[in-house]
Amino acid sequence: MAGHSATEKILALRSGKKEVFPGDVVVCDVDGIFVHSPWFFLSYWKEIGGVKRCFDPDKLILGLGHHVCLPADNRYANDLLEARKAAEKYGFKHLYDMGTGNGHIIMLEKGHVRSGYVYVGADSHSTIYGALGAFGTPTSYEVAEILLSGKAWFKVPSTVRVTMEAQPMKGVCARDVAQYVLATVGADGALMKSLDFSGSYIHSLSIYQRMIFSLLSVEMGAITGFIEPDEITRKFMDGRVRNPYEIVYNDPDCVFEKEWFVDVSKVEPMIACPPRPALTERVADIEKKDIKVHQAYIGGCTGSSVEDFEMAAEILRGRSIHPDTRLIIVPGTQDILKDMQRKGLIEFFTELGAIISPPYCGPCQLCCYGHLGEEEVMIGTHPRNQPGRAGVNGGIYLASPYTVAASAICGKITDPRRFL
Amino acid sequence: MNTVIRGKVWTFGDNVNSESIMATGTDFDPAKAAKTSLCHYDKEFPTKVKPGDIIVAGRNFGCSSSRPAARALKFLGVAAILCESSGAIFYRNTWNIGVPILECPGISKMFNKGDEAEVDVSTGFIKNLTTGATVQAEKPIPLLLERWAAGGMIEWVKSRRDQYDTLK
Repeated sequence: MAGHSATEKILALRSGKKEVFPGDVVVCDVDGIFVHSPWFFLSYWKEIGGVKRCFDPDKLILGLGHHVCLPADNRYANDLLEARKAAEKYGFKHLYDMGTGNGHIIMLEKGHVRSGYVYVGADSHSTIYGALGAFGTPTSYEVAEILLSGKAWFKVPSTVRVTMEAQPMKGVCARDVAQYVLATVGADGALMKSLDFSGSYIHSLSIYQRMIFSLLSVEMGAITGFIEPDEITRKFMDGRVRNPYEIVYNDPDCVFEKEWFVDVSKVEPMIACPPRPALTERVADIEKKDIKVHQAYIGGCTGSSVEDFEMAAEILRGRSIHPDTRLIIVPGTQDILKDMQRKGLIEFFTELGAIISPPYCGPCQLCCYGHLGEEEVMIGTHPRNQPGRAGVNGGIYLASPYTVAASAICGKITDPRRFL
Repeated sequence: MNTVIRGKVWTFGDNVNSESIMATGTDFDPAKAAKTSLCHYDKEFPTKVKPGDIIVAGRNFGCSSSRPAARALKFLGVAAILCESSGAIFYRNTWNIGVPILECPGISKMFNKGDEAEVDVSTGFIKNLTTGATVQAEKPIPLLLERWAAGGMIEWVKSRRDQYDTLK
């Protein structure tokens, strides 16, 4: 009999079973729950009535500063106030407030995620926890119940795999490769599956760049985006996680339901066009359409690490932002902001005339600021461009920090290779 | 318990995202969100949908954000969703919110807007009462049927309070 995928093994471990198979329904112990808008589960708790506590206040991580860096209206300010009062009442231990930044990155940076355990999030991008070899998946509405029971049910997914080999050409980075993968797998190519990323390329990347793949797994329909841990993963977790981790690998003889192979050296700069992230084209082709850019944004769950800002700076150094374009810089977290300061990146972007924001998830949707006027176009490193988030407007495009920077210089969507 | 639902059909295509069902900027308030729900894909829907109507959709229905989008559809009285396939989070959310959602390859070709549909939620058997066509959807797992039958996750928890130390 064939072996098991790492996802099957983690789900078996955490549900107390010897082995599980795709299609089985299991109930797992949950090691961490990420919530950015606790007023939802608090309102459901109110409806349930009589809630005395959450199953383990150490397992709930509140990222109040995820969607907003400061409340933009009274409604949000009051929701935040309610959340802080509830944290005090119930003794929630981990509350990351205004200015701390993007909750998903905080989950990893602050050691709330460890290999081999199960994490759920009220946010759809909770597939990101797979970047450390954990099973991370969104559950949203059910968080209210999971916080009471400490357990979550899953239908064990079958596993599909993307194997990436070689190194990219100049001007191409992890985001381009991830967009290429999105185009290859499609918006529902991994629907309800565990998506496994393997090959020499993914293991050559830092954890921050791996996060892009795990996070964007949800845009291919996957319930998690798993990356087998290696030395880089161990180094990242050591000194961050407080409890021992348990590295789980795919069995060598495990069978993947489907497998895609990507030769990374052939990938060109890629761009997601409206209305969905999987609708990906070559930047070189979109450049020909002469699409004017009003707002260029570097930040979000998939483009707010120091490395992302360094890539943008590589293009922007010695050049200037187009007068019709505004460039917004949103560091992912406070740790990233501090690192940017040390490296002179904040000074660099300030001198350039960019708008420097406090850390949060950025204008990926209309929670804080960065609204677009009608017909205005935004290009950003954030993960999403669907209608109903940041409006429809003239269109929202998603690309690498290289491409966003090149587009900010030219005031229109531009292939960054001309600047390298 | 009667698990058979009959209703007039609204049709939608592939990859309809959750933000288009419950838009950002509506405070995720079901009543506010209902005013623009699905209007990006069908302008008539938010004003003309009637309690008891059924949505028939293509692949990956409700994909993208994890917001509790089905609360807007529940507010509008949508009785069931039948789709080729559903976004993973939307699928979990929707059953837990108390709206049945059935995945059924081939379903989108079987219905036109305005047809009358009949579905037995417990067995997954679907009929087009207008054309007479029938199809078998994937059977939902017992846990979700149980939560739906209770009236959604909140009512389900309330019905088994003794199972939770955190409620004692």
